[in-house]
Amino acid sequence: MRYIFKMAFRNIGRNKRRTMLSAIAISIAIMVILVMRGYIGGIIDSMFDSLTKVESGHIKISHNKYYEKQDMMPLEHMIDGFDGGGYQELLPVLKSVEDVEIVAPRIKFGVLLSHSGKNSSALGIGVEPEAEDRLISFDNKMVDGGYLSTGSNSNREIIMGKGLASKLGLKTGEKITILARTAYDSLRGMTFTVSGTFSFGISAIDDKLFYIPIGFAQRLLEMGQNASEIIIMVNKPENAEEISEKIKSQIDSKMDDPYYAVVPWNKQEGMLSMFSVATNIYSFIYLFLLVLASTVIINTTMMVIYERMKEIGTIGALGMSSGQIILLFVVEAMLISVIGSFIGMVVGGGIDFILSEVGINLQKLSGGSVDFMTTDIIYPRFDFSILIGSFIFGVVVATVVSYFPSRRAAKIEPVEALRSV
Amino acid sequence: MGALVSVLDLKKDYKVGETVVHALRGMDMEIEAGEFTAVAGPSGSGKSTLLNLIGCLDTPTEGKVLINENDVSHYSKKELANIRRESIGFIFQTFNLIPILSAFENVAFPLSLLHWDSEKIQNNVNQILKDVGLEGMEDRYPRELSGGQQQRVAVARALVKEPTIILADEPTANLDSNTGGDILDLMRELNEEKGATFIFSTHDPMVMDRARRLINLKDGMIHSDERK
Repeated sequence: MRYIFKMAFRNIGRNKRRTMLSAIAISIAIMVILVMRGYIGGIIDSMFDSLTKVESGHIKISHNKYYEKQDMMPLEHMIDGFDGGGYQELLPVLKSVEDVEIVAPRIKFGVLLSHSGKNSSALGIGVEPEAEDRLISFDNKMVDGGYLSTGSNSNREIIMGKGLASKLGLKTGEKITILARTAYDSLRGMTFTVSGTFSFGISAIDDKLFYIPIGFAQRLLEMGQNASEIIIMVNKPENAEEISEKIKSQIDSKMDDPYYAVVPWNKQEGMLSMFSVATNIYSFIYLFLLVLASTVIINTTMMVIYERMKEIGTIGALGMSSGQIILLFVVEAMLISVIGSFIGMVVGGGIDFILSEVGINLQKLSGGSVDFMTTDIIYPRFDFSILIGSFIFGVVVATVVSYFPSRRAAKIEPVEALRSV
Repeated sequence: MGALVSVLDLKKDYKVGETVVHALRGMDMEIEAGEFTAVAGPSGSGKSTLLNLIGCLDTPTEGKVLINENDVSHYSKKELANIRRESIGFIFQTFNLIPILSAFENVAFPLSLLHWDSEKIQNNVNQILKDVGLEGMEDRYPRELSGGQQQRVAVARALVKEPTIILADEPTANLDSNTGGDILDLMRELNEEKGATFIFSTHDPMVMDRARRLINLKDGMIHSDERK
């Protein structure tokens, strides 16, 4: 085996320019794959972060019927505790489950906001200010004014996305009256003071969302002590499914006729469920790219076989087996792909690292607002496992691909090869 | 005990386009261990074909090739490679050294295929390189050696594993007469000292002159077989 590696290593040095050309083809593919993986990973991370925090949580609890029609936000199907005592009844049970980190009850409702003759549709969320702050970390999202008062200082305060505030011409300290349809289908109004504006850096949120304390939302919407959903964040999102089952069994055990849906993020409808599909599709694209680049290695191997016909005849005559001859060419291709993948890993990794620090401004690149749930600046994902993974991926694919032309070398009869000169 | 090599009614046909060329037309002969045999004859007489068949590089159309009384005529590709690896040494007209390997590594190559341990390889290769007069040139690559020196490396490579048969296809054809003579002396010396069996094809009268047995081929048949 050692002599095969030695021969392969020296063979790739025989035509350095050709070796480098093949290696560069692999390195470009690895570079593109790394940057793409980083970028798509960054988008997925950003979407996952936004969607789980604003929309789905790692686990979402709601009334079965509410969950079925959640796009309509049917307030009549509420979380009303175990026996009508309000959502608070559930909180101690949820917090006691292992690995649950944040429990944030919410009431979501849609309204049409009006101010100074300007109108805008908006999505209101009634929240427990402390729990929601733990979830979202509003400290670094407030662009003007302050967050909602916490604890017993709860006031009729509202914070809203800076895009929404700007559309309505609202400034911090000004008042706005919200007219909403209650759970009993009547119309009710309540006036709030704008305590601040926030920015998630996601146009879809900043132009639409506002938060008010849940107590006032309950009064505005005539929801008693109830909530429309409870968002749960866990320490490891990949364990959400398992934890959701624990939660479900605990809740159900306390009810005669259970009616709560406990759904982990990956089982919820919408964009999140598309992530795994998207990841698989991209894996195929990466594989395709690499196989395409590996055609250079196929070409090189075939050229080399024709050039070294006499040598193949000689080593065959000396008793090298077909398998060993194939191995010799496969190892050569492997060494070239190691060089190519390494260069690709270093350069692509470097680009990925820089972009992960600097970010890519999608808004500037697309020339306007980005209408999906990502931050306007994407920070590509960078971690060493992706680097090492791409390196191994490059080496394995190019090496496997080289097996096919190498078989041709093994089929050459020594007597024919020796006669070829 | 039988002959080291026996060929029985050996025939080999080649197809060149639509034409069938009868390279060997039914040949019988025996070669004993330790012989120093030259196979001579004009171009197309079947010398190389005969050597390829004895060397297990090719299989006959009809007839048998027996090596140590084993019929190798119907061996598989793998079995032929095994017998070449273990029992046959080759010396080629154009030396056929592997250019990326040094003189030492070229000679060591057949031993690596036999999985000898490195210490044994080291000792055997150094000894054989000394025997062929290349001491001190172990690290030179083929491009750094003269034609004669390259053929000495090839002789060492053929002999190092102490094979049953050494086949040499016109070993002096690419060498000047002095160097060719030296190589021939060397092979004969090794034949006498180590008892190695040499069979070579040749056009060269000097080679025919120094062989102990001269088999002349004509049109794929044995024309004469003379022991000196």
